[in-house]
Amino acid sequence: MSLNFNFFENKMHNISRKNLIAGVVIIFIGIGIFFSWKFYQTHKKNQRDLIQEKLTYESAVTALAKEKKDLNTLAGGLGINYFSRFPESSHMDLSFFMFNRISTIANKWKVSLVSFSPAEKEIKGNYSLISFSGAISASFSDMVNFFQELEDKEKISIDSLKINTSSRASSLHQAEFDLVCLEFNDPLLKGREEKESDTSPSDKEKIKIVKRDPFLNPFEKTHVASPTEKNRVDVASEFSLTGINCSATSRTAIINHTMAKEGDVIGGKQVVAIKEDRVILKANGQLSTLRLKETPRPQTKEEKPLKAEEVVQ
Amino acid sequence: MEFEINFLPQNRNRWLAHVKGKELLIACLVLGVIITVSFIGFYSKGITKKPQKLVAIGQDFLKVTQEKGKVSGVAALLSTLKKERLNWTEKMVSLSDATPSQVFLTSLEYSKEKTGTGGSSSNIKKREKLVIKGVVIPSGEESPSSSIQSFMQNLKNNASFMAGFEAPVLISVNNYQKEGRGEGLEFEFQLLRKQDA
Repeated sequence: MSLNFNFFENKMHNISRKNLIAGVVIIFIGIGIFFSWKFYQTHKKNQRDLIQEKLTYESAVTALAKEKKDLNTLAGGLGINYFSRFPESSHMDLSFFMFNRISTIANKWKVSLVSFSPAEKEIKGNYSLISFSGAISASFSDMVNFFQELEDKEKISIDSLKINTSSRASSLHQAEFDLVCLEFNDPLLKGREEKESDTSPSDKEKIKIVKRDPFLNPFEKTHVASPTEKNRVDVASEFSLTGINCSATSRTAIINHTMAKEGDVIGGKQVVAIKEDRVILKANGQLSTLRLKETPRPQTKEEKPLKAEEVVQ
Repeated sequence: MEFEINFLPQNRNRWLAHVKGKELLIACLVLGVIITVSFIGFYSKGITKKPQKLVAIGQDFLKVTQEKGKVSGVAALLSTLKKERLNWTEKMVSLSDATPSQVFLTSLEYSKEKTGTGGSSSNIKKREKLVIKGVVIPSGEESPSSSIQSFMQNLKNNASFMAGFEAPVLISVNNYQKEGRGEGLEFEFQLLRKQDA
């Protein structure tokens, strides 16, 4: 292969070698400076971007941490994943567990748990609503304290509420309620559980004092229920629990003068559980408590029968 | 000027023999330009490429943003659930404070009521309402109807009771008579749940 170049012959004729070298050097230097400058600018820009991105990233991480903290506070306020607080609930029927729980709170506030219905689960996207319904009989102030413990300490939502006065003037009222517990399947909240001990001692001791019972007719001669009457409201009157025998292996209750063990059926009601001081019965899907005895307690302020003159004043 | 480039194997040592200074310079210039362009091309790729650190931070930022989005979504859901929740303890205490001495309640019911128009199920909405029923026994100077008014006003002015509810609306007032007690009034009013609550 052979190539012939002769196009430089006239054009390059007058350029001296010195000038040409100088020109070439200048061009190279120019190109070098241009690209060095470009490189410097890009490097600076990258550094600035890096700092900016770092700042943005750090602020995003801080914001995320704050949102997570707020989420935990919010979740704590709502008492989500109620059952995960109690490890024993994992191997128990939820309705039965909840009945025991509510029953304990009711006992604490001298509230009679008249009925309690099994749980209903409603799945809503990434969370579930587990609702229970029940009925209590109590004085207004005890009712308030019972609901306060459910709402403030247990963080259980009261979905519906119905309070009725008894037919005769009495300090006892009946309340029917629906309770709702939230269980989240979301990975962000699934592991979240609030320990029972998280509640501050001040919360535990907080007692609501009500000025007056708005359901009490101030002009009627008030009938204050005696502790024995309370027991009557508590359980179906045809049952009487006269004794509980606890041994290391089994528990036996004496109901209507008949010995009964867990699982036995007495008068159409099944003995679900025998506790130290009470027996839990189940009939038609509803649970009820049969108490052994109840210690008489002093009257609360609002239970004192109000005299007409006092009210007028 | 004429120079010859011959790539034939037998002439490979011959083609540079006639090259003079000027031609060498031009050849160097051409070579220099080629090298420079290649050099710039190589480096320009390097300098325009984002540093690895920057890319890594960008990816982490994306992950954080995605997680933040999820957290915000759940937080919004929890906020809505919290808004929907009513504090009945506070309301019961407020009710006790707001009830005038000559008024006593016979029933309080908070439940969901189906409201809506048309037969289609999509038009039917569940709206919660609180219905309060009670009786006024006349005593002192205040008339029974004024007692109902003041009771409703007391409730309206009570912020913790009214949280989540619209203003109370009177539904019915009837005569109430009981032996030896003279005439009183039986009343019923309701509070609808706020739509945005």
